[in-house]
Amino acid sequence: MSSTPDEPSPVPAPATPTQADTDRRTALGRIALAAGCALGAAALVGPAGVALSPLLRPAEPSGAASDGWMRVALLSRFVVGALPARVVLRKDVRDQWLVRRGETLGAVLVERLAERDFRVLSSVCPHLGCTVVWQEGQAGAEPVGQWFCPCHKSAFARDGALVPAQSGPPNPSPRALDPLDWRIAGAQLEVRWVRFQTGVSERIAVGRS
Amino acid sequence: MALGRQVLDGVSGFFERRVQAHPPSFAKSLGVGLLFAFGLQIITGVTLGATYAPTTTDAWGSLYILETRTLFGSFVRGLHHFGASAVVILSVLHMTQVVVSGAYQRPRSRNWILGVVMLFLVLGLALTGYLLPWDQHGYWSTRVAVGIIGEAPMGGLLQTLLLGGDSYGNATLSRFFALHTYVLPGALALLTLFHVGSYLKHGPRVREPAAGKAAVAGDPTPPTVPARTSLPYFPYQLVRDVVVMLLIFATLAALALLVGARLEAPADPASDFEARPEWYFLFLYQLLQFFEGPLVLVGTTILPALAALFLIAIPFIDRKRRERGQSSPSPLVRFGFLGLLTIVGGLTTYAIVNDATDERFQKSRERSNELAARAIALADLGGVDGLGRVVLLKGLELYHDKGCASCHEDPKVAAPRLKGYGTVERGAAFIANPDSERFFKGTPFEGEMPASGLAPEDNLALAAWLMHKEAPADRIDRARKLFISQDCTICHNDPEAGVRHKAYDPKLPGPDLEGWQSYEWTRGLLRDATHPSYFGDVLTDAAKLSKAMPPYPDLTPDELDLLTTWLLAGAPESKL
Repeated sequence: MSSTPDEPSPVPAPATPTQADTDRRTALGRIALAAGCALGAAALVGPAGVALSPLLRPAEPSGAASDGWMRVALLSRFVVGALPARVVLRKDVRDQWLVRRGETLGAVLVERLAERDFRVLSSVCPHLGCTVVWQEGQAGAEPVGQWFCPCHKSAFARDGALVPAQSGPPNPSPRALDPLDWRIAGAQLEVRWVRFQTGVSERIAVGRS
Repeated sequence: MALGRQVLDGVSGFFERRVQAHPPSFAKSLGVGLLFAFGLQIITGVTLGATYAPTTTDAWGSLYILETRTLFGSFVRGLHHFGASAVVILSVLHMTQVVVSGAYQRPRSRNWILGVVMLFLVLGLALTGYLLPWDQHGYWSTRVAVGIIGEAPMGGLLQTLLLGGDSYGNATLSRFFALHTYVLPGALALLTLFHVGSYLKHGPRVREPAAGKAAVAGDPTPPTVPARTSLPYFPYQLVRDVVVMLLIFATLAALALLVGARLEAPADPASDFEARPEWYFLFLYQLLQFFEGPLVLVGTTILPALAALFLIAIPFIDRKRRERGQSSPSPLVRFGFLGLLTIVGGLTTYAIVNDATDERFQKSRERSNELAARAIALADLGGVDGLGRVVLLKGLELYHDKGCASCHEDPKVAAPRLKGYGTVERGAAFIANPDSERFFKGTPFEGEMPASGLAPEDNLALAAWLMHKEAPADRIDRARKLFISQDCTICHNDPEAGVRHKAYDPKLPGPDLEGWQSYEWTRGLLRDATHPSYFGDVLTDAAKLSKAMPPYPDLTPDELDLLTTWLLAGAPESKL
């Protein structure tokens, strides 16, 4: 309990500690300090793991995993030859533990090209991620519409292609509107919703929410 | 290296200037160990606070995420859980040590009283902590504890204040959360400063008379130096302190990793969970078993109050003795304290042994363990909804409560088995052989639909196409053609012909296949499977129809949604 061979014997205490005593003391002090620091670090390992956990991007809860297909609307809602329609996508969203039904995920632009042929574009502007809207306009005598982003005036043709600016600053969008995979499932049109990185000319998928 | 040397000198100088006393010993490390355990509680507690959501609907969900989907989350929660026990145990050991050495006497009597108050804060922290997960254990054991408070005089008032009203809900959880994370730890940290400060001022109590005794014994050479010379705190006592702290941490880490803190199923006020308080309150729980009826006040108030009074009074009991110059504790203090410990320990042991040998209690524990595991697995699969319900667990419960399981689960009853419902695999198995044991064998539907006689991949393709599941385009095309060529249309409508019900031809006996096993299709089936668009016109024989699944018009929209969601998750936790 009291003394170990490491220590100067307390009975009787020497008036002046010898060099050996001092050395032992220093060594013991170093051990104690090192062990103390190690202990402190060990105590912080758990909290650090919890804090850094989001960096590891753990696999999505299995229930949240899906093949990504989402219902857009009934096929009959889209008419061949009509202007593109903007459809808001809703989905049950999982936020950590919480499942929220029918959360708004984003909007898609749908045009029915033929009986069983569609064009589906993401409404997210590839410039900085605002939402594009359909704008009627004039090109000479021809009435033409375009997709227009109110944030920084990006403009896209009906098929999503970049429209070069007629005057003023150039079209800020680095790429055309992003096309999305679609399919017909029974009487429904379905789409695979993807969000792409904005501000770059390549199309890089970054997520599904 | 030079820096290391400097740091070392600095630290050693700091300690040398301050604490310079007494022979080092492990016994003196107990207080430091307690301090360390409390510090660990603060570190882990803050970490838990960063992941916890203090509402009744979200608390359990946030802990399930911490336990299963957060790096070291379970470890940190385990450390905090067992750390609470460590603080309680070390507090009691620390007090015992102080009583045995008589260190509660003046000038340290105030520090003793401070320590007793701190013990109550520690117990308060322990009591308020386990409600926070809002799981079965926390909810029910807190109900018991608050119920005990309610039986004391003025208890009703205190109860209302604790609960934030007269029922258990968000107000209760917020109050307990504030007490557990701000009020009590803040107060305890403050008192710890005073407690430790006072200790540093007075130093540990040292038994001086070693030299005196030697003299009395007639030692021929009276010592010229004190028999036991003091050694500096640094590094001789520090080494021991570090060893004790390491031991404490290693024990807690091992418990956290190997045992872990339990997370029961979410609190269910309608359940019959058998509540037990945490082990450090078991003695009170056991005490109450002995006092019933008019004597209840004895168990809830009088005896605990007497014990508390005794603890606070210890320095005063001994005052006379101290004045007479006797420094050892009086027998009243010594035996009173040890007696108290023995009673508390005995009651605790009695309660533990009682439960361990109670078969019924063990069975009920087993059931709740199963439910807990199921709740976590199902939360992982389908999440927790905005009402705090584990969605798929509610679905599973409805499946049993509404009697679905009594056919679909009972091996003696012929009924389709639901495991894997909504998956292409099960859909294909059905198409391949509808009259198999898994589906229609022995049911009124046996013989109504022929086996497809197709290759396995064609069955899969048909199922994927009908169920709108992902499959290569050529497989989908093939499925579409097979549907026609296999004469499915003799009984069924073409699922691509249009909107459900609109395109459905009531003259066709088979169920409408538009959106087969989709959410809407399934939900409608649960409501009324006897509708002609389902099976109502398959079974023309009334006797047969009466044996098929009846309509459930009394299922609420919410119940239909929960059941449908559960089914489409593959009917988890049901049998094949």
